Amino acid sequence: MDQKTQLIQKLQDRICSVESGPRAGSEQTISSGCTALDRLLPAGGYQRGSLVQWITGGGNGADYLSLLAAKEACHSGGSLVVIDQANQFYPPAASAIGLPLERTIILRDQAARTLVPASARNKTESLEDNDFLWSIDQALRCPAVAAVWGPMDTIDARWFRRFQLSAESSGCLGLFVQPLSAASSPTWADVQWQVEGLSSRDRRPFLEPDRNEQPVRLTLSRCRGTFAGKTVCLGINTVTGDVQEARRNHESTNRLPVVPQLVHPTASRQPA
Amino acid sequence: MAAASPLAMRAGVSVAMPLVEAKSLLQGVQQKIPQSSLQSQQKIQKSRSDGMTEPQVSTWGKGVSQRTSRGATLGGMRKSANDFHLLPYQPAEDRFALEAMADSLESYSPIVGLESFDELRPAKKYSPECILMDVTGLAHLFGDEQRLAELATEHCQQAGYLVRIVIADTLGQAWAIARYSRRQFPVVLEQEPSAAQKTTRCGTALCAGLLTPHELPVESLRLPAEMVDTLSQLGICTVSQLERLPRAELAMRFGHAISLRLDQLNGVVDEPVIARRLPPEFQRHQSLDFPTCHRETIETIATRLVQELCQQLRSSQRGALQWRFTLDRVEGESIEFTIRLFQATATPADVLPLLAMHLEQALQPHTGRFRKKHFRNRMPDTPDSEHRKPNTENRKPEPSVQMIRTMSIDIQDVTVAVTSSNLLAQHQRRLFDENPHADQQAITSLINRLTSRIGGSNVVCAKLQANAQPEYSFRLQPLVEARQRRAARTRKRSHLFARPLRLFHPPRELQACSNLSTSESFPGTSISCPPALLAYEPSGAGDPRAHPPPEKVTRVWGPERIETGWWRGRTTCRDYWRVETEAGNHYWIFRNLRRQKWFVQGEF
Repeated sequence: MDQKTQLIQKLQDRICSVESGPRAGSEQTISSGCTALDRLLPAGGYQRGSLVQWITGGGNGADYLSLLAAKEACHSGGSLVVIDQANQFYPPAASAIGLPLERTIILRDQAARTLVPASARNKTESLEDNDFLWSIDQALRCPAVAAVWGPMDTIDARWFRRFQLSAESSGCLGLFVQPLSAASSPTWADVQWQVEGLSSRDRRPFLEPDRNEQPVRLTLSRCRGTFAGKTVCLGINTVTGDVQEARRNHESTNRLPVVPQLVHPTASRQPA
Repeated sequence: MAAASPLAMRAGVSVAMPLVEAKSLLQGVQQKIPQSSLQSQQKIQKSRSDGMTEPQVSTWGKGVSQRTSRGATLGGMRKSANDFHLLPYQPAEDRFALEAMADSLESYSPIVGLESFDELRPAKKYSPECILMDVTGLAHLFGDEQRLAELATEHCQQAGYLVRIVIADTLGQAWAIARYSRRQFPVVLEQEPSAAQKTTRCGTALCAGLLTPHELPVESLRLPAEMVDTLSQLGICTVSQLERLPRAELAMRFGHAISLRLDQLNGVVDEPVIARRLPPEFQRHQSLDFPTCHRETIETIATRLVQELCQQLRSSQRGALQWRFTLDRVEGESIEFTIRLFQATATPADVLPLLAMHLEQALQPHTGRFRKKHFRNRMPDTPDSEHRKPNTENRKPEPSVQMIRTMSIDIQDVTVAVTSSNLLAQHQRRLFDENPHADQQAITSLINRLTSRIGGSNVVCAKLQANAQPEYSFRLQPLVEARQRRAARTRKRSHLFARPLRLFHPPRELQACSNLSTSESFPGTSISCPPALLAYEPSGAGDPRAHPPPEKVTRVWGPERIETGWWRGRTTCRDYWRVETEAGNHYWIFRNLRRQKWFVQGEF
């Protein structure tokens, strides 16, 4: 058995080394900020130098969950770079959840007012896009930056690969919050989460959420070293910011009609 | 009245006159002023006084006379005699224009300043009225002082201003003559004349009988208004009368102000001109004997100048915060660009990569095709190659072909200046410092590169502000301007998620898509319930969520009323709600109580 386990581990390591290059600080793991998510990840968290994608439709807590990981990454003293091309980042809310604003660099694009997809942009704007993507790449490459976080549109495959190589070389954690259209695009991210709010119909297997709870469902659609497709339902407490796994409604699933049968047993004649 | 055109002043309008009186004067002047006096364009004369109230805007001249021509415009003021316009006095714009004019006069003197603030005239701090230039020792460069004054006058007239230029031995004399003399300008005041030769040169002719500074009124001494009133009550109206009085008695009665001003007028007390922009302390310049169109040559020259300046900075224990590069062309405007740094540095390696980046951006519009240059066993020609000793020890095999980028313009001068510097901060690194995250140098280098590429206004840090309105609760500051960043003090709220992480600015209006979307009020209150359906204006074309379907609201939290900003104009009055939709999405919406409309401000 030990030999088999060792063989599997060896094969996994070889696959891992083929998929990605050597990472700076790869032995260190960064918690996602939520134990339920850490349990789903093979190393119990994100490896330094990795890219994490958060695919969301908006308004379902993806920003908060991803910033929790950024906050964990900055614990050891590095800087945080925020990508804010759409000029929507709200620093007071970020400060309230514990992000160090004095160590935060915000990259903006004053010319862009909205997050317009690359396909809808004019050709003349491509130079500005390249400048902005170059800036993100430089931030990922800097060893003094602990994490790069921000909403982004669909990323070109070549730039994405550059981001991956830059993050691996510096040990920086890249957290990109992207729209639903990015789910079908090629990706170089190590981990990809799909985030969606729990509708009232989807909440039936769970206990009714607290009044101050925002229920969300996360699906691990891509992760190196483990199987994809795992799902977890979380509740974000809007008062304290705690993230807990949603409690299942056990009564509705495991209820057994024991008592009525004892009261009215169906007598079965046993042969003597 | 803050200022008036020469025509209006000739009609009797003066500075500090009440507006009503000025209007009645101008109303009567339309019949009297001859058309022959309007041969050339006239503009408003920049002559201000202190403490003026803002007049009302009025074009009352429309109905004054049927003969009024409509030729007057706001900027060019090509006026007819019967068309006077009253414009509001804007001190800030006035000052900006004065500063711009002062900067443009630097080609005549390196020391150009504005009328400075002093304790005797505190109002001048915010509304200087004249430009001061130190032209000591510069007259020979323009011929003589008269020629210098004429050139400066022409320069100002081309910019659209009527000016009074006086060259005198002291600032006080020049100021007094410019204000209170009524002769043709420019005026060059000679050295203190004898009693028999009280003349000054005016234009190209000698005019006798012109007022000397000592014959000017007491107001020309720049004394406080109440002091001037007291002197006039005592019958003292001219400077010469004041000079005949004993100084001790004047000091006993009025303090040191009059003695000081008299000494400044006569040159006994020095009154230097405070330059608005001092010439940079660290500057290097290279003139090319033959103008060049090779970009590599320009870069080589600029690199060498940067290295020399860094050496000079290091010897002064200073580091550069801002560099200015100027490339003077043979024909056309100079090419100028600035490099701003996050931290003061005297290391060329910190600046040269940024210089290469900026140089490429600045010369990109003028760069032509690549050209091959062949070399035969010798080093490529550079402007200073003749000064270099041949280095045969480390001689590398030279390429036989070099690609040279040629430009469509010729550069003849390269100037590199450090426009802002600071003392170099010395840091001692710990022996076993293995934590790369504490490497401030790496962050500094990153900020410098990002600023150079995408601009300082796009690389910012956030500072929280105490303001209830979400849009004004923070401000963004370019990192190259933020020297010290401290930990922000966050206002504690009952809910960690009282505010969303994404804020839409401007807020997006909710659309009424059905009867269900109309809001009702809580019974017995004026507080409106959030709408039952959420559908808002898309942010822009191509947005993936450009046309989101209406979402039904299932849960709401609130309201939170924010009423603030009365000092900014109209008070902002909003009722904020947090809503959860059927899809499980959370939004932050508010109702504008003034406009009675719903908006989406953010999403959680």
